Amino acid sequence: MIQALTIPIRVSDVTGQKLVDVKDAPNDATIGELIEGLLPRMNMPANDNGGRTLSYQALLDRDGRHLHASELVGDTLMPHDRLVLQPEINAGAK
Amino acid sequence: MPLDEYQYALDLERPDHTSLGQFPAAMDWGPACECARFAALRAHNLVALPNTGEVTVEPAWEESRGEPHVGSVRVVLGGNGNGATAVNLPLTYFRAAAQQASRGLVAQKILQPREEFHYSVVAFRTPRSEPAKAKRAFTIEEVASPLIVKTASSRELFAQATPFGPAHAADVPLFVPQRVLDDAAALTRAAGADETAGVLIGHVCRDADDQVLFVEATDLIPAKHTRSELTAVTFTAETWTAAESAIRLRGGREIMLGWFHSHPAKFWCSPNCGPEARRECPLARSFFSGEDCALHRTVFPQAYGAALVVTHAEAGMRYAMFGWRHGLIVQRGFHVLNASRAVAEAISSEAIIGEKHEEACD
Repeated sequence: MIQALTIPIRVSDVTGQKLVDVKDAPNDATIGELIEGLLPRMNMPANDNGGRTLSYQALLDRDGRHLHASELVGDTLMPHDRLVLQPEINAGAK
Repeated sequence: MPLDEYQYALDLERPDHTSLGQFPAAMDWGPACECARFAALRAHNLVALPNTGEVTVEPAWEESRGEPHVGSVRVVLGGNGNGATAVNLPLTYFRAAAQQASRGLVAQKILQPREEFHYSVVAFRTPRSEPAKAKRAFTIEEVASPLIVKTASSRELFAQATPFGPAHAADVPLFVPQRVLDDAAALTRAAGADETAGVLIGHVCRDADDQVLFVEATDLIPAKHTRSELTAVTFTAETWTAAESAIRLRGGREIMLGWFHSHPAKFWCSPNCGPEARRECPLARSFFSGEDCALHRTVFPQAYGAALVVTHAEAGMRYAMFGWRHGLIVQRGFHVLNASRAVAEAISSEAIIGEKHEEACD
């Protein structure tokens, strides 16, 4: 059987109000590469107030697990899975 | 992403019109798009937020000088048809970019810190170019907004509400129960010298009678799995997971409306300050820092997104609410449901947003 090279998934931000369908997430892409490609297209900042790179984790809704950036899309995700992009971010007196 | 065919630049000058130079401005139109989407929701009695795909951003030229001098920026949703919504952004939208440019001038000692300067905006049409090829190419399609607008009665809420803070006609009414403020105050008190935080949840509503939109906060979910310090609190991935789980468990179809965090100002005050000085401490003034603005932009860019700041001052708790207006973060008023006497009598002071706020007692 010929295996698909891409899979369709759905991605949202933490509020659930920003929702996109990725039609063809490449199987051989890492989760980190997927996140990096999604942020500008979902209009989500990549840097914090000081210009430092924001850290985003992807929560796999199906099993409630945070995925590692190095995991491969094809190894980790199933078609129509939902990911939630969650930033680690500061509030503070700066 | 909005369609934007212009490159914007800022002309900075001293008050005596001496030029300080022209600086390119890489603009973040995200909040402007959200403003346009919410304006469409308000104006056209829609049941869901329109997608961002049809948003265009274009300069409106100054009447006196014309192109390339920008008088305002027009954000249009829905093309030129009858159903289109247009929002005009004032030049204050470029203020953060102007401050960014001025910081470079301060670093070069061309400007003194906090020295006054003025800015104007110019725009130049840029040729359309192919977007940079992403490391990993894939196709995305925006899904129709899942925002559920609840039908409710604003008259019932106004009947039990006390206005608090600076009101503005452009702001969608925001109702917050007294117990949410009480919960925020309790969390603040319990955290002592550390900052603490939470997630505001509730509904975006449309009045059954006059179709006017309003926002009703229903609860505050304490932020778990945060890292808290004297002057910072960090939301982690686990924080968001826990908040979403709590919302799902409640089963009330509530959404994340915004967030809360505290300023333990009485613990910032110098131990050398006497009782009178501590009561008047400038550190007790409400503010929304640059980091707070960045968090609000990152997580709550929706036009209805709100941020409650509770300042634990020597004189007691002070409340300030922040939100979006024309794509900018401002201090805003809200309505307290079943307000306690303490809140009804509290004075909401003018807050500092983004700029350098007080960092010391003297």
